[in-house]
Amino acid sequence: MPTFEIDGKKITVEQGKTVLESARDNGIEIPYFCFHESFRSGGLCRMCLVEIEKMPKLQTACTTIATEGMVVKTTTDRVKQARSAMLEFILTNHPLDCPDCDQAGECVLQEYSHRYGPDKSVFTEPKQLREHIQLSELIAYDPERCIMCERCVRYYRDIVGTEELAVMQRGAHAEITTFPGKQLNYGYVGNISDICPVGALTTKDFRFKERVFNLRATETICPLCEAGCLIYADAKMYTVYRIRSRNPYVESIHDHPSRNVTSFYPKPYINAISRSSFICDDGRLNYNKQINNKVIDSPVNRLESGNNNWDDILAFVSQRIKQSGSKTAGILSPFATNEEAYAFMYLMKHAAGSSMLSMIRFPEAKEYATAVRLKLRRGVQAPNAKGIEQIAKSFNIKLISLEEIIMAKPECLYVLGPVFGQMDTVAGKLDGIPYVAVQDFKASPLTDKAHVVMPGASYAQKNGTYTNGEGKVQRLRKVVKIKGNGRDDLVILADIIYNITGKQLGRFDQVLGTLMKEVPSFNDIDFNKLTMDFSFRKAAGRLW
Amino acid sequence: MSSEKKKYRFTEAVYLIEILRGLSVTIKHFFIKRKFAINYPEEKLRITGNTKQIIQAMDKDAQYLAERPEIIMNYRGKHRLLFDGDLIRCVACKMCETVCPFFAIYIEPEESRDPRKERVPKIFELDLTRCAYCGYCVEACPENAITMTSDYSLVAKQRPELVLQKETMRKVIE
Repeated sequence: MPTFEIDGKKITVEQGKTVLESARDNGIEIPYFCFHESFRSGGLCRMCLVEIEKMPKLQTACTTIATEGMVVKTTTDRVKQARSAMLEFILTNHPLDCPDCDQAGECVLQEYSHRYGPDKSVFTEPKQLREHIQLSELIAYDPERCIMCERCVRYYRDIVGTEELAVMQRGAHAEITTFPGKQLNYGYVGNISDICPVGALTTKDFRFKERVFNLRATETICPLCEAGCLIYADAKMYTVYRIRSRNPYVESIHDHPSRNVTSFYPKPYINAISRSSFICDDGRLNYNKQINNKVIDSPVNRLESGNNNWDDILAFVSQRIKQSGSKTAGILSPFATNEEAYAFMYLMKHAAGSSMLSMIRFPEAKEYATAVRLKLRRGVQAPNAKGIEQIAKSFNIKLISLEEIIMAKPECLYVLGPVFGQMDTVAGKLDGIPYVAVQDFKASPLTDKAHVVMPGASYAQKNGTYTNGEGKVQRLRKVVKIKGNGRDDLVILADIIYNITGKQLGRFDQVLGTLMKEVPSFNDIDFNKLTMDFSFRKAAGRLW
Repeated sequence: MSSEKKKYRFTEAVYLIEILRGLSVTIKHFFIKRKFAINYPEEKLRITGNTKQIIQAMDKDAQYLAERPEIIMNYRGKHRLLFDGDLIRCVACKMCETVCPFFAIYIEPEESRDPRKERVPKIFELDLTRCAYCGYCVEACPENAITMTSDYSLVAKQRPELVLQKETMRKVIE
C-alpha cells in the first residue's frame, strides 16, 4: 500500500495502481483520452502528463505506477503548457465542425479544449479533408476526426480478442482500418462508438438522428437476457434514441469527479455473466423494434362490443376471474418484472384461488458464432426467469408447462407480459378455452385471437426490478411515458386485485417492500438505492 | 437635512408660459401636415436594401416608395435560408431548433451527397404561426445559414402556407 503525495495531498492506494487512477479516485482531475480501465494502458494521447519530482521529464500518469514517497504535481505551469501544446497538436487536423458532429455535447476533446486548450493555433496549413469509411454495416469511421487514442484497437485486442482493427499509415495519414476487404462482425461492434472520446466512430442507427444535448439519459438495465447489462437509455419526449453501455467505472466526462456527480455504483460492478461493462449489438439496437415501433393503442374487448374503455374492461376481467375461480390459469412471461410477477401470483393464488401457472420458456438464446471464441458472451436465459422462480417458490406455486395448462382445459386464461412471438405457435391451441385475456404491448397472433387485450407498457415505460442470472436484483427505470392509451402492467394487475379482493397493492416500491419481507432472496437488497429515481444530465439545450 | 421649499422664479410661478411652451409642440403639428397612417394593403411601407431596387426596376412610377416611412435596417421579418450556389449552408445542427422558445422549427438531418458537406437538412420547417420573430435562431446559427428579412407581409389564405419549407425559405427576398 504505497503512500504518495499528489498536489500536496497525501494518499494511500492499492499496490499496482497507476497515478492517474489513484488521482481520479481521490477527486484530482488529470485529463486523458486514451486510458480505459478495461484495456492495457498505451500512453498514446500524452494528455495525462504530470510532473514527478526527481524525474527530469514529464511522465504519463496512466502508465506510471504509484510508488512510495512519490511527489506528483498536476497543476504546475510546465504541465499546463504541455497539455495546451498537446491539444494544439491534436487539433492540427481535427476539423472544428462541432455543429456537424454527433459527439458535440459529450465530446471529451471539446470539453478539454475549453478547459486546457490554447486559444489559437500556430498552424496555418489547411486541414486535411477525408471521406468517412464504413467499418461495418453498423459503424462509420471518420478519419479526420480521429485523434489516434487507439481505444477501439485495444478494445478488439484486449476485450474481444480478435484483433480485427489496426492503425495503418503514419503521421497525419494514419487511420484505423480492418484488413482489406474485411468488415467488423456484428455482435459487439457498437461498443467502439461508446468508447470513442471524439465523434470519429458513429453507429448507423444514431448517426445524425438527434443532438446529444437534447437527450435525457436514464440509468437502466438491458432487458434482453439474464445478463442484465447496465445501460443508459437516451430519450427525448416519447422516443428512445439510443442505448449505450453504462460503464460502472467513472467513465464519461459527465460523471467525472470534477463535476461533483457521484457514480451510482460506488464500487465497480462488473457483470459476471457478460464479464464486462460492454453490451452486445442486439441489446443496443432492439429499442427500435420494441419501444418506438407500433404498439397496441387501446384496450379491446371482443366479447362485448362497445365496452372498450379501461374501467369496463377491468371490471369485466375481474368478474370473469372471480367466476372461474380455481379453473383460472395464468401464463407469465419471463420479461415481467419481479413486482408484476408478485402481483400476478397474488392474483392467481389469493384472488382466484388457483395454482395453474406457467412461465413461457424462451429457447436458449443462441450465442453468436463470433462470441464463442470471444471473451465476451451473452446470457442464455430470458431476463427475469430466476426472479420469477424465486417468487413462485415463496408462493408455493409449481410452475407447470404450457401443454399441461392446455390439457387442464381452464375456463379462463390470463396471459401476462410481452410474449415476443413465443406464443404464436400456441395461439392455435387456445381455441377450446372460452376466455383468453392478454396483457401485452405489441400486436401478435395471440393478441389477434384473444378475447380481451389490455395494452401494457414496454420495458422503457415502466418501473420495476429484474433479478439477473447471478441473483442480483437490478432496477429497471421508466425512460419515457406511455404514448397511447396503454397502462403500466402493475397498475392493471393491482386494479384487478382490488376489484376482486379489495386489497391495495400500491406502487412498485411498495410491492418491492412486500417482496423484501416475504421472499428470502430479496431480504438483503438495498431498498433505498433501488427505489431512488436517479437520472442526471437533463436536457441541457434549453437556455432558461 | 432640512427640507426647504423651493423658490420659484416669476415666470415659473405664473405657469402659463410653461403651459404655452408645452402646447407649442401640439400647435406645431396642428399646422404642419404630415401623414403617418398607411392604408395597407393599397399602400406599403418603404422597404430597404435589394427589395427597393427590385421594385423600382419593375415599376418606374414607384417614386411613392421614397415618401413613405422606412422599415428600420434590423427589422425582423420572414426568415430566409442562404445557399452557396446549389448547396444549402445549413448543416442541420439543430441549434436553432434547440434555442427556439416556441418550438417553431423542425429539422430532420440526412447524409449529404455533396462531398463539400457531411450533412444537410432533409426537412427544414419553420412554422410562422408559432414564431414570435425573436431572432434567436439567427443568433444561434453557427454557419450563418438563416437570416431575417424585412418582409413583413405575412398573409396567407391557408395555414399550411405559413409553414415555411426549405425551398420556400430560399425564395424569400431581402
